[in-house]
Amino acid sequence: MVSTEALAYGATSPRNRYDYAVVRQFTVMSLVFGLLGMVVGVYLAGELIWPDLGFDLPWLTFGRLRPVHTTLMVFGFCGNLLFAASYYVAQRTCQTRLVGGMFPASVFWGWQIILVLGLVSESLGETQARKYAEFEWPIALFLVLVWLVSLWVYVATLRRRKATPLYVANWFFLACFVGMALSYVLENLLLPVDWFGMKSYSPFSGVQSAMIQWWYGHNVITFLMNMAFLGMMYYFLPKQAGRPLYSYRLSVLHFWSLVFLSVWAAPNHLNWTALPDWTVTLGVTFSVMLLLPSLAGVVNGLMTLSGGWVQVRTDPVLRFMAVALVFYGWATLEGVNMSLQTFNALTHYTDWTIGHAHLATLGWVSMMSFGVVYHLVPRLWDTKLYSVRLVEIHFWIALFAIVLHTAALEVGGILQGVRLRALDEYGNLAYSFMETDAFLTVPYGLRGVGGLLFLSGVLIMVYNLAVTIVRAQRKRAAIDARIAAKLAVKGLRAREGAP
Amino acid sequence: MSDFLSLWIGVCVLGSLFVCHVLIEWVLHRPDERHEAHKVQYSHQSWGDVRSYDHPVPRSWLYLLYACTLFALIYFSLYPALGTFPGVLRWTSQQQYKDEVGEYNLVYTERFNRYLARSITEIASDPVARTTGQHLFMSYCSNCHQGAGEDRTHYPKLTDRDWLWGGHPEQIEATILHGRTGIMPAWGSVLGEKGVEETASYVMTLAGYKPANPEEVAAGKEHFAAYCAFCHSAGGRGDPRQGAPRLTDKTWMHISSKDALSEAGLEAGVRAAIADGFVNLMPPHWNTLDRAQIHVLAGYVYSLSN
Repeated sequence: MVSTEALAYGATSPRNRYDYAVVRQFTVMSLVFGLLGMVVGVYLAGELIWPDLGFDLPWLTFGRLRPVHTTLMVFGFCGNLLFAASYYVAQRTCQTRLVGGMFPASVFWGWQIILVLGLVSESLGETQARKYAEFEWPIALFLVLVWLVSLWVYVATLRRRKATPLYVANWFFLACFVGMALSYVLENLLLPVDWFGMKSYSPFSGVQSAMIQWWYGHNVITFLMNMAFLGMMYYFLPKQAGRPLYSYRLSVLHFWSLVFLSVWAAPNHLNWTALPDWTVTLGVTFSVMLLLPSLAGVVNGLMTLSGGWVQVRTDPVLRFMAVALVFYGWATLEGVNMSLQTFNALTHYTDWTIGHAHLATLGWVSMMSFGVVYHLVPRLWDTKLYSVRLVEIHFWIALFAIVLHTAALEVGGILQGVRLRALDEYGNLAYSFMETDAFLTVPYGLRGVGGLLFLSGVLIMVYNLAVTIVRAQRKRAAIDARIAAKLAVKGLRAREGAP
Repeated sequence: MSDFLSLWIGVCVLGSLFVCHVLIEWVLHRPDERHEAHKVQYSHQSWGDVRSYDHPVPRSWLYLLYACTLFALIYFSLYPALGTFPGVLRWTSQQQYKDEVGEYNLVYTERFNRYLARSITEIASDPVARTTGQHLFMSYCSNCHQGAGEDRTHYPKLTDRDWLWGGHPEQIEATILHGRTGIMPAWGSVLGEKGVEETASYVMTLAGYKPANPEEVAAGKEHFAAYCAFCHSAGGRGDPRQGAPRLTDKTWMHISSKDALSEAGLEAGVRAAIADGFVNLMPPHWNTLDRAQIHVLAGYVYSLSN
């Protein structure tokens, strides 16, 4: 008996050659959590302007909602997309199917359960109060387990490849998996207070705790938000452009310089604190050297488009990726600048930092994600995008939103920094704390508008992709029905003894 | 830090720089597969559905690499980075802090201390000094007193001439310097509910209000004489030596302006004050501000009501 699927798509269809079920699930959940996270983000922006929006409900206050926002974005949006993209790219570049039988699906369900448990417990106030590591010990333990399974699935798939060398995108994904595993385990060495309670404490305290915390925080940025998305850039940008990658050896240099230099740079998050001086000097030096991988990535990506710039003008999906790369360069240059002690003294503890973080996450991570998702969805559901025009509109809204958001917070942050340190002619602080803070309602308002615009762009994207998926499924159902009907007729004729 | 740890850090840092360079050199001098005819060709690998050129690494990137490495080595030798090696400049953040405080003192302390030679009333009438005082006030006082003159329950208003601890310039300065602790005991258990109500009725008449139950006033007057007059003086004139407020005016520090709108709200507030009492604390500042700053602050506060 010939299966309907084989008849409909032929034995060489990518639907059969690759295992896309789990990739599709991860892609959809990435969008769901991303959308939720951005709604929470806009709400938080509102709370900064109208603090009464907390309504005195504990789970709606800024302190609880903020980790919910970062968890949704970092682990929900980026995490799910990392699994989707890495499992897709590993199959395509290694010309093999996903390994592990039920394991990819268990990674998917495990990851979603972790997210739901984590978000609920954070809302109830069960948190380690460590940035990006809010999950309490039972959830953290579960997360490590699922992460290791996902790493195993990925590595086992890579091991089944036919070509000997690995494509560069896979190194970046691999570094993300391994680097995050190491950092997460060290950050989450926890001593539970009792076996049946959620509360636990870190064995580190004081300055060691701060250093471990920011080493981990920096590694989340490096491995999950840079490495994973650079992996996506290295596969999806050449694919979308239909052009070969510019330079293989430059990508080798990009990878190793990023790995070697970035793990040292973490103390730059703790300039002017109780950290020993030598750690900060090391952090600053290696942060400056991070110019190298940053520029290598930008050059390699943009030069891939050299000779095909007209595509950037005509193809909004490719434009998402190209502009994301420019933001990668911009955000990392800012990062280098912020690690310098003098500049850091001005901007640390101001809204500049939040502006910088959002420049990187909206400009680089999200824009790259949008490009990737617009590229992935038609291929996963074997169809075409519902509307390229909507992608075009989404692009311009998103770009305008990022510029507004960044300009508001970074200009506001600099003004805040200048006011915090201003002295009058007798050496007193010229502004009270309230005066350094109250004027920020204007930048906060502009940021809120920027966030709202960015969210509306995402809504357009989700609508566009949802229609694409629903139409593809309807089309497929119709084809399946036709084939089934034909087979039925054939069978009937055979039974009737027709010639 | 032990010598071993220090050595370990140095080896790790310089080692990773070195290994990074070895890798880079290896990549750069990898067998070049460019053909004579084509300047650039595909890399020798194929990865299913993606291809890659193998363009040479841009010169500018290499120069940046050497510049960055040079920068790192110079920085490591100048500043503390390699474990216990203190660097040629012997810079420490603590020393920099001390130096900056020293520079600050050099510039500002002498300039500021000139104020000590002037009287508080003089300072109060000097607009430049008032601005200085206002900056100090906004940093150190506005947490509780808010911007001067704003009404805030439980914190005395500084723009009127109604003083708890006296409004002479020297008294103001003493208040800021040493702080004040005002205590109103809780009389609820002594007077009982009825007694508290009666006393409150009497206190209302002191400020010129009509109490809800005028027949209680006589009994309240007796309670007042027995328990309250020791601090608040007979007739509720108050006593600045103990910080006991005058009760004959219409200023109510511990009753919110909203409650004070109606006589019923006011009386409820007075009853609560008598029954539960207060501890009111103005912290001392002799250990956080220097004398010249306190002097200027006293001048600013004095200027608010004079």
